[in-house]
Amino acid sequence: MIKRIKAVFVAFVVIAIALSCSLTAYADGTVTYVGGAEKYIFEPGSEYSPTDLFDGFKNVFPGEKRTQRVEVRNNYDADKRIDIYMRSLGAVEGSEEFLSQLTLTVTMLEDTKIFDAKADQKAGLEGWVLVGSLIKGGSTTLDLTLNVPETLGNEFRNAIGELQWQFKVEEFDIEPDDPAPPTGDSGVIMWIFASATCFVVMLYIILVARRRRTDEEQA
Amino acid sequence: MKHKIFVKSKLFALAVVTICASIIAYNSYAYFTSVDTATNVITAGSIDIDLLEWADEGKTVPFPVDGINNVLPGMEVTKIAEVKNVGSGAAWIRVKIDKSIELAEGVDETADPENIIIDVNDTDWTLGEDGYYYYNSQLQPGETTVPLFTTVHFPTSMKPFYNNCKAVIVVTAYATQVINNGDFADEAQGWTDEDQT
Repeated sequence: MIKRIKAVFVAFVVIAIALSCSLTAYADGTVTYVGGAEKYIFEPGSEYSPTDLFDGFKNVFPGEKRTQRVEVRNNYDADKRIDIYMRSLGAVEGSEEFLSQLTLTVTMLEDTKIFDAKADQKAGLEGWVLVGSLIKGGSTTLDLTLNVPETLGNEFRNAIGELQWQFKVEEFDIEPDDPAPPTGDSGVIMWIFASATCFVVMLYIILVARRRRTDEEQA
Repeated sequence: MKHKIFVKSKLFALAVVTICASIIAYNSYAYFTSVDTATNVITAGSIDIDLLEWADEGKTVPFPVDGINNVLPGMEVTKIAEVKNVGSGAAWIRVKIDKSIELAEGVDETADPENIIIDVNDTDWTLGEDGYYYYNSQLQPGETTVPLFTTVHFPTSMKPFYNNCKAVIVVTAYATQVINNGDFADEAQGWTDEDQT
């Protein structure tokens, strides 16, 4: 009986680990808040900018529709909750003509569009927009879509456009009633491992209780 | 005395409540903010080609701009024409060949450019109804087409009035992007990037 319970437990843990791996999503760009002196890490960067998040928007051609993700993470090594905001500073000087030809949309939490305008504009990101309230290890994602018109002329061959996004973090002590991360794999993974832990604890209690009863009966 | 103790106790309790309230209030506010900026870059690609012509099979000698002199009927001249993609995007390629013969001064005859015979590669290239030769494959950045032709010759049957004539072959290459632009070269639109020799 005990061996069967152990086998079930092992199977449960294996399934839990397998599920957690398959739930991890790939993000094209990442904004990671690490606190301390460095504060933020922007990846992957590029030959044009060390903080470039737009790895999927290189070498675009007329008529193309490109999509990519940006993952925003809290890797701050402290028991703090962070509210992370973003806003657009618009096109860098000299980039306006090219970027004004392109349409960019930014969606968070899969259905909340926070930006839908020409890429040189600030539009819905002119002011600070809360993109996530994250505890340590939490993350959220931004889905980006870039539409390049078919009418984009030859004068924009090899054009380079720079667009600046600013991020702001406010740190808070964690309160008992703080909500779980709004999205991200870590929340689901937490529930899976919490369930596994509860299961193990319950099993242990049952086994101990049974053994005591057996010992008492024998006594 | 009892009154004093009572008042002191009340004050103490009030102080404790005040301190607790301020601690709660303090913990409700962020005490640290941080701002940083990401500079994100969008780049456009390009379609660009080079038309290459060689005078030798080893492709080491460019075909001379002034052409080749003293060619006789029956002779075969090496002239290799190919196109290289020097842009950043995959391209459809097409080429136009215009042939003409300029007779020597004083010769009052009509020259037939069909006396200029080119060994067009009809395996990798397809002659369209519009007179362009379309490359059958997408040309990726850095790649070069299989040559459109490699030799030019003149038949032995050419009449004497062609003596001292000048045979002119103008090759013009065009390219357009592959992305969102048809499944075959002859379906593509937006032909630009003319390169001519």
